[in-house]
Amino acid sequence: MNEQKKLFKTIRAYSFAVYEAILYLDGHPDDRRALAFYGKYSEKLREATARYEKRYGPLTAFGVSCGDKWTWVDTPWPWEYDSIN
Amino acid sequence: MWIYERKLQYPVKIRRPNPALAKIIVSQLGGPDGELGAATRYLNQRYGMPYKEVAGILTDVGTEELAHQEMIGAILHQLTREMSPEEIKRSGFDVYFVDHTAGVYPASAAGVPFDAKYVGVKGDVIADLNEDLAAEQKARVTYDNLLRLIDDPDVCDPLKFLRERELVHYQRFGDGLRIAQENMDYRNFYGYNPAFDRKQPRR
Repeated sequence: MNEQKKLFKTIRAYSFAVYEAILYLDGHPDDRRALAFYGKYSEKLREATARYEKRYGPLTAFGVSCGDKWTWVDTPWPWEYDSIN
Repeated sequence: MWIYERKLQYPVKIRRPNPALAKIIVSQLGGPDGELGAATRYLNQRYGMPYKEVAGILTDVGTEELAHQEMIGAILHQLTREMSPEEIKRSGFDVYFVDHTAGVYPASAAGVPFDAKYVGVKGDVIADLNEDLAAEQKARVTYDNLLRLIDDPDVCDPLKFLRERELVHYQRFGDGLRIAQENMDYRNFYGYNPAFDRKQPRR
């Protein structure tokens, strides 16, 4: 697996962990273990996403670094077979 | 507002196109218990929900359902790529193809177009949350049935993930019902609707 795929996989895993914590915390807002879990993994997610976007391009249309061309639409979309999805 | 992320919630990589499978999986997009109905149901129930935690659950589960629509879309798209006319006829996909080509159209496996009748919004806290609990179980059963009919591991893998999410959402709506009941008069949940009848005390 190349570096980009590996980092993408990591982001997806962190993102899943954080989202799971979000859904749980909505209904258990005082659960300290869940709060700590959320804090830990949302930090890891932020860090991995910043690293990915810097090297391989934007994951949201808010993370596009603009030179003289708009690159948001350049890479394959995630539903395509050939994409990193 | 929503912000699009350029990634599927769980990967979809289907090596062998197979329009016969697309023909049945489409029900989890536009069928009675599909992801389009789920997202629309939860996101629209929010406005009448008086308890902020439960409105949070509806928002965040509803948002995840949008991502599930995209996963089903990706599965349908990849199953129907590079089809020959012979394959289309042989697979029985012809009845879909004639109206929608290889586009992703929300309909049930039997070809019934998506219907807002699948979206329960009663505007009553207890009725809506019980609707959501049932909806998650019905979606889980539909994934079970698909998994009974499909043996391509590339297709089963994302379907198993989606099936699992129905179970987690069922648990979260259980949290929502518990919170609603804690906030309502525990002697008589069914005596009033806090989404409509005013001046009910908050716990």
